[in-house]
Amino acid sequence: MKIKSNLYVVLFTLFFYLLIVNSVEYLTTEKFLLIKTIPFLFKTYFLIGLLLIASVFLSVKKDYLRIPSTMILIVLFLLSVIGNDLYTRYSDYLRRVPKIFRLNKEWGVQGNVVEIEGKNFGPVWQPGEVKVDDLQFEIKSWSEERIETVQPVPNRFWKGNLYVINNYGQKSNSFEYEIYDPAKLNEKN
Amino acid sequence: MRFMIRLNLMKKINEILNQLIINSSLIGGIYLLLSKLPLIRNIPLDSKLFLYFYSALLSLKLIWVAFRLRLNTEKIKKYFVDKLMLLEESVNWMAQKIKILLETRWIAWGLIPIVIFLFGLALSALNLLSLDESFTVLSNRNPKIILLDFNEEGLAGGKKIVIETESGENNLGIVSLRFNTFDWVNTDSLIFRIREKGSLGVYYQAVYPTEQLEDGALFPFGFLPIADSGGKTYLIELESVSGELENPISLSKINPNIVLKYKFDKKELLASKTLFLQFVVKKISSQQFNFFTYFLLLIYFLPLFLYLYIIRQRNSLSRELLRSLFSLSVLVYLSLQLLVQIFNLLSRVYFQEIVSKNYFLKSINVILYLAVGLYLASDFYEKKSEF
Repeated sequence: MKIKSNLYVVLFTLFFYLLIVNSVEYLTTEKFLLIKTIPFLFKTYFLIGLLLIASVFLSVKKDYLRIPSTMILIVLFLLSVIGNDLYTRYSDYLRRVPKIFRLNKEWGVQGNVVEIEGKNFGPVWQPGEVKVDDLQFEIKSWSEERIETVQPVPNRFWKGNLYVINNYGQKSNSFEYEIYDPAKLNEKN
Repeated sequence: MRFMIRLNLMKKINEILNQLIINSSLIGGIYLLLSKLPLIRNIPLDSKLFLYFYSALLSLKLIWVAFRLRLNTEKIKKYFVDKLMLLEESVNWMAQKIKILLETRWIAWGLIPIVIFLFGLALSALNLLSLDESFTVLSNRNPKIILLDFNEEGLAGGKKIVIETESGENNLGIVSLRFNTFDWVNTDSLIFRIREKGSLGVYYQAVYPTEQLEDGALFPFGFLPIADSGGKTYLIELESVSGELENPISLSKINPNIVLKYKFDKKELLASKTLFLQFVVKKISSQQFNFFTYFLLLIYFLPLFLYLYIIRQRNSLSRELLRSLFSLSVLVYLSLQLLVQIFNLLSRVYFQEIVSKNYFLKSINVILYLAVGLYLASDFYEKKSEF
């Protein structure tokens, strides 16, 4: 049937679209923490673009297109749907894990306010903890994407890893942070 | 030569536009299919934007057709008649296939009724279970409450309402309250507090701007679920921060004006079959069944009754009979819609919300689908007899 070639190209487009969109989303929002989310709007524009390419391809190369069997169409559909479903379930889990994007400073002395920007920290009524290794910071304000903490008085000075633990005990990525000796502030400046 | 190039280019553009419409329709169909299947998550797509794009494509196609036919009515008529003939061919092909299926006795009287029955059962159960915000939320729409501190004149200027209530289950996580805001412009804020009776400490408190509250609707005050709330008594406090006494808000008189919601852990429920079954039974029994609800449960089985009736009458089936059934379905649908409006009015007079309203509104759509199906069947019935 005539429509079969369209179905084949559409399923291939869908497969390609989900593969690209999900990979880009994972890499930019979860792996390299470049942006917080990719808006649905951009994803849809991308799909429309792909559909346009597919339509041009079909109208130009239709006669040369080898239409595969129905089984291949079904496999392609299942691969797209199951792959997307598995990724969505995995990304649902990832969305619950706190992630730090940036800190307002790389070092501090006691009493300094450290601002942490990121995502998935949890709502205001479910604050977690902010720590540099085992030193717990005091929480000044807490929201889904921003935390303000106050550095406590430490019993030693060192360079450690700052991380966030949310209310459910999930640990974020860490940033290097130096607990600095106030007596040596002159040297720092 | 130039004319030929122009003609070829026009043909190519038309071809691309046609392909784009077919491909977009297929993607839209797949999207709809996936979004209706509860086990599969949606494909990442902004459906509204895609719909705009699709409408724009169709409009472009119509403009293209109009341009090509240069508004010659005879040509336009022929164009659409040709398209309709194509559609009719595919419908006839489908009708032939269905006729072959219905001639097999075990399919007509066994398989299809069972499938329609199971479909009705599944839809009925799904709708009953999805009445709350989430499947894992259990609602108590009729909790025992005592108003300890209540202001008849409403909440404003630092006044307070204190409600004592007993939690019947563990995991109390949401208290929904219904307010009358009288649609005033209100810049006040409301402090919500919940604490266990006899305890000095407040379990949770938060400030909400009153402009968030909707007149006559339940507003959910959420907090971290209290794991061991079962059997304990709680005091719920609502305090106005700075509202003016001239435009207060108050608790609504429409029942239920307080709903306690328990948030269960999905993993725990799925881990134990006994717990899961207990939960489902509690969830269904919490829906406050009445005559009205039982009547609504029947709606999802209407396709089955209709199928059995039609299959029984298939020898004497006529276009007129199908048209009468279509008219009857439309009449029933419109009457039920009218009934909803009457109940909406009555709920304001008798201060009683229709508990099954959501379920009702969802389920009467089945009658609309039936009506559309019957109309299409009656339209193609005469053609079917030709095979």
